[in-house]
Amino acid sequence: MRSEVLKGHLDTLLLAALAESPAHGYLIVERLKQRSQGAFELSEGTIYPALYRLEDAGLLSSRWAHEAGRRRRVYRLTRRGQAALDAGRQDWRGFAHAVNAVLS
Amino acid sequence: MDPYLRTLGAELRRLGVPARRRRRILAEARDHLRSDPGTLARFGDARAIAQECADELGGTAARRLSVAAFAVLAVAGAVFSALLLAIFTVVPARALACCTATPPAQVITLAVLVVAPQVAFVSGVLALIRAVRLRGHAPLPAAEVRTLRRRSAVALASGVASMSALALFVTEYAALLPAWSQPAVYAGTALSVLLVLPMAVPLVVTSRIRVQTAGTAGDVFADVGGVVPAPLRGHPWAFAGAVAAVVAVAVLAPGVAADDAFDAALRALAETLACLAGFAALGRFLSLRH
Repeated sequence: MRSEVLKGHLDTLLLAALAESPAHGYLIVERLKQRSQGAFELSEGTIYPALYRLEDAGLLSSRWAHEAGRRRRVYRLTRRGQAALDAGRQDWRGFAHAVNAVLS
Repeated sequence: MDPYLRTLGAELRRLGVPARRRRRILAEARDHLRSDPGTLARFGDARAIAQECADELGGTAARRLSVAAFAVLAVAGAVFSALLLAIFTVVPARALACCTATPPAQVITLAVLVVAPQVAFVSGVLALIRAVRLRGHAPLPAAEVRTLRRRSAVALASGVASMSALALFVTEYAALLPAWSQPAVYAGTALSVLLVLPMAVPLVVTSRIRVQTAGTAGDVFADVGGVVPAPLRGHPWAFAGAVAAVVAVAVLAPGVAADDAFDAALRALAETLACLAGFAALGRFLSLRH
């Protein structure tokens, strides 16, 4: 999928990638790749400005953690983030349903 | 990896991203790039990523500045209003009214004392309205960031000018005012300046961040269009005239009721002219009109 198409949905995708458990940036990218079966063509560095935006909006929280001798910033979904993800899922289902109805 | 991080760091610095955020971005990028050998090729152009970080940060910082500026000015404004009310309850304004013998310094002080609080109030409220309205919009266009920054800066500067003018006023009119007014106003001014001055730091930090997101800033109707009568919408000068007329009536009515119609009419005329002059001078700068 082209990056400009992906960009419009990046926030919801990032929230979804963090829904199962907290993760650092690299792991978030890995989850996105894995779940999309490699369909997303995303410059990996572009997730960081989006993560900062979501954190500033109170949808994510983050803290430094030490994992295997490395200092990593770990992001976690907040309650507001969970609510935003639920709303994003609902919006997407409605949108996808409408597009499918037109295209089929 | 190191040349990439050096480029990213240099770009973040060039774009005015504060040192603390810069360190965090670089630490996260370093950790990401160390995760597997192929990430360097997939991470993206350092300049583009630095610009995206600056765009996000600039918008957030400008919105926060506007909210913080309003909060600080609300406290300073409450102190200012309480002091002014206390003074004019004891000494009627008429006793201090301008006359031909009023020295120019006193005229300037009085003019600032009347105009600056209004500018601070209008700019601060409009900055807050825009910050709230743009919540959830990201990244903000550079023009909107500039508008938030300018409105906050004008509000803060006018707030300081108001309190300073009040301090000058009680100094110049000391003979006509009660003894408590000078220490009370000096203490209030000191408190307000102590509250407002630290806002210079976020103002400077926000001003340094170079946001480049394309887009335009809305005019005054984007902020208050919902409460503006339909015929005035899209006509900024007609709107400014209507606001000036409302202010003039608000100044005139109490004067007429107090049997002081002539002086009240002069004050109303001065307020009308000040409103229109303010709109002419600051209208474009504060994105009230295009």
